[in-house]
Amino acid sequence: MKRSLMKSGSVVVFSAVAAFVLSGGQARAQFINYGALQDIFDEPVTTSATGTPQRASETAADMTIITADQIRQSGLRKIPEILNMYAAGLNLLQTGVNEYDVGIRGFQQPYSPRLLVLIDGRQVFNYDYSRTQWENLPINVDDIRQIEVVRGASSALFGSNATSGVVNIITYSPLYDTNNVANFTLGTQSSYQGDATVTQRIDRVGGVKVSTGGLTEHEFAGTATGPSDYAGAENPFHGYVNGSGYFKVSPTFIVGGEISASRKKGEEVLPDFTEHTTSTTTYSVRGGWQWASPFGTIKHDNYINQNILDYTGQFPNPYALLGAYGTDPQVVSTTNSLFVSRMEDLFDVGPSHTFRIAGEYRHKYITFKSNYYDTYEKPIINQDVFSLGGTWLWHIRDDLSWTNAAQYEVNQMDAMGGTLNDTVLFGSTQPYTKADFDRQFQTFAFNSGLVWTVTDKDTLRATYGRGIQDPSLINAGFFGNEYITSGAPPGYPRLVYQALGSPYIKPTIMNDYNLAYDRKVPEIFSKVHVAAYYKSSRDIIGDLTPTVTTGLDSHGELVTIMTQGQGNLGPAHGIGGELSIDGTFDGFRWDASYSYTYVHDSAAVKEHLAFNGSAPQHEIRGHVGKTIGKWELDGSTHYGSSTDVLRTTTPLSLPTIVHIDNYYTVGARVGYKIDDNFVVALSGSNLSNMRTKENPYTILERRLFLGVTMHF
Amino acid sequence: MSKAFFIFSRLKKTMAAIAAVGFLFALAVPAAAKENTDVLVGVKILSMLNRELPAPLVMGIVYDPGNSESKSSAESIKAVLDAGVKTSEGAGVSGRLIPLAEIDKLSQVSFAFITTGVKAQFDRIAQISASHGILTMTSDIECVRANKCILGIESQNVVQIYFSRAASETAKINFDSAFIMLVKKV
Repeated sequence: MKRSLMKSGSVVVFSAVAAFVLSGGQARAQFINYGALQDIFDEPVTTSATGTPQRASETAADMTIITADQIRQSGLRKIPEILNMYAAGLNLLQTGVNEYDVGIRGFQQPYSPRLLVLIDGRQVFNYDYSRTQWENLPINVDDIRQIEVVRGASSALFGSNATSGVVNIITYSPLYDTNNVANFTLGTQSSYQGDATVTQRIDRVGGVKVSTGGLTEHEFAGTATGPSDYAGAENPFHGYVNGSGYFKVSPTFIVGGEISASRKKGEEVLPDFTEHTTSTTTYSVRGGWQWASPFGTIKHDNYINQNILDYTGQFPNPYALLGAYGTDPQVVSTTNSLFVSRMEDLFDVGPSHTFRIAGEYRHKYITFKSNYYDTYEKPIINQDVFSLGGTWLWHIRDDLSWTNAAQYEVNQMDAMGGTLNDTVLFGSTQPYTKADFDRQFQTFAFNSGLVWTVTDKDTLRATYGRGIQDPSLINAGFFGNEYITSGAPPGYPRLVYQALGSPYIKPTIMNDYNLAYDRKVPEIFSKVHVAAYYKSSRDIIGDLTPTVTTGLDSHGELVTIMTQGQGNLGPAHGIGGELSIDGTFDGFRWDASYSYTYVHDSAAVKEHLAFNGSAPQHEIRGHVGKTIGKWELDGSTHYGSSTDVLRTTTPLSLPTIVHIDNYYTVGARVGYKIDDNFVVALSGSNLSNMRTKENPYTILERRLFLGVTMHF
Repeated sequence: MSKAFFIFSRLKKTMAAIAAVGFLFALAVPAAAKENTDVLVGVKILSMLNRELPAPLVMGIVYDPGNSESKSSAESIKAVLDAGVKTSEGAGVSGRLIPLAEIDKLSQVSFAFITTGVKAQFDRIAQISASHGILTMTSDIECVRANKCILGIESQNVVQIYFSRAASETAKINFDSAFIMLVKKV
């Protein structure tokens, strides 16, 4: 015992020092044998709740796990639509045939910055606006083992931006799984989609995996594309390739790496509620290792994400403000990059305590250019983030556990380029100098969760999360301030357009309280889930009211200065809950849920973001399926109550509310297994209506798909 | 009347005897059936070992011939394995009955399942496990709590795995770290 205690003590000290000195975070999915663990424990396993591997029934978080079978049975091949079918409390904003924003429990907005999305533990967040480009994820939907949806703030585990929840997409690991699959799907709207994954494994040693695919389709006729007609908006496309390799160097040491590239083009809605055609090229490189050491399971994970974006559209075409459009649409290009290096140690102290100590370094930057700017000097914003955090999982009794997690972050920002060094140019109109951007702020995130397995059938969860939403690179630091001459109509004065981030913008703090109850009802082969939440958010970040001023610059030239600023708008509060049931019996499967969401906005939040009407207050989801021999039959429905969603139609003006009536949609899939390796499926979405309006930006159309999937 | 009473009396005794046998049978059979499913979970756990067990995989089934429950469990487990059980990697697993009197033969198997009812030999089982690096699993959680068996398995209603780190370290048996995070440590 004494030896054990001494050993435990040395483990704590070593791990703390190692994490502090080196740098840390969430478990890396490809190191974990999810399939074998699920087979043993007869339920999915996840690391998304606490960073430690846990059985789904024991997690200290309110979550939904969508399995590969459910994904296949949905007949859907786009991840946001799959989430929307199965995850209660999720809010989907589909603004085009292949354009999505996903929120959780209200607080919905374009470029939602409050939901952190990961692929196998790697953030696929785009840090320009702090958002996820769902339509550009480099992933084959047939290569997904499970999708884990965490409802509630999880910043203490995942860092900033996991303020409303987390979606962690887990793919098959070439270390443990052989997944060779190809799919080709044809559909209405001139839709062509193909995906393939090939895995080569060496048993118990490792393996490599390559996936590739893409789609092209015709945009919905009702999708708004702004005041001009932009090339590429009518035929969105997406293509990707990714590869990974993981190897066991010894029974206790695993190394691995991943690489990916993807590209998309399509219509997007920006946080100022304007529409743009965007094309994005994304690259990522990742490498890391895991060592099951005498000091615990030590993991080191490093990756770089780079996004290169071109926005075309009313971004704005600034002369519109003066009553005329320029000769060319404006093209704005940004490049943003994220480098992450994290290290963590996961270890037990005695039979009842599990600890995770993690340190992490993140470097983010963004650069910017525009075809309108003749005095081009590239602005660059850098952010360096150092974080130290940990999790303590205490098994108080066999039926009672308590998890606490905390993370402290230091965020150092600086800026260069642009007109920051040129304060003479605009005199008093220049609100910030370079020194203003050289600043530091600290944040503290916390999570606590109590799980009580009351009986074999009943589980209660009480959780609290203090989530942090850091300002995005554009919120906090972007400073575009340039003369604009290109495209100017004759006779108009030169313009100065200021896209003005604020270095003094504060992080948004989300306090999230959640109570959930799970009850198995074997009499009807089902499980019932009830959850209620209250969340209080302060210092919500958003666009300020645009301003237009005209005056002489320091050279004596008359200029018009248009400013789009960023700031903290104020608080908002949300309450709501979900009631869901799911089960299987004798080839039948079913799930249904009801979600309620109510958000109270403060005045400024209501004016600029209008969370209150941004997502349906009531949503009902239902799905039933049956496997009969070689046939799989599934049907689903979704109802959303009316919404009042913002939209901006005039550049640099406040958005206005558009009322959208309630809606319902019906989907279905019929799959036929020709043999063990070959499946043909006919599926459709929005079958009940030819056209359905769910938001101001598009009108969803009825869609039909015929797909073949081959496992080899 | 008396004959009828006699017949009725005999009938009652017969019914009582059937009920008693049925009751005992009901006690015994579920125990065996329970351990059968525990064994199947145990075979799946082999994929969580940090070192691969050499083929052919032989599960030693330790039982007490003098304990009917233990004996019937062992025979039932053997029958299940004889019917064909494979690991997740596809390797076949055969069963070998090891009565307590021949407990030293435990050193000759790949891993072992300890049936309920052999408490008297926990120490000896732990000794052999430690000296020969034999993975021991059981449905008798007491064996794990006493740090004599490495894994305890419950698979009725909800799967629970109990783990003795002390027994595991003594036998130098190591598991995947994620698996260890999911088990109940004693």
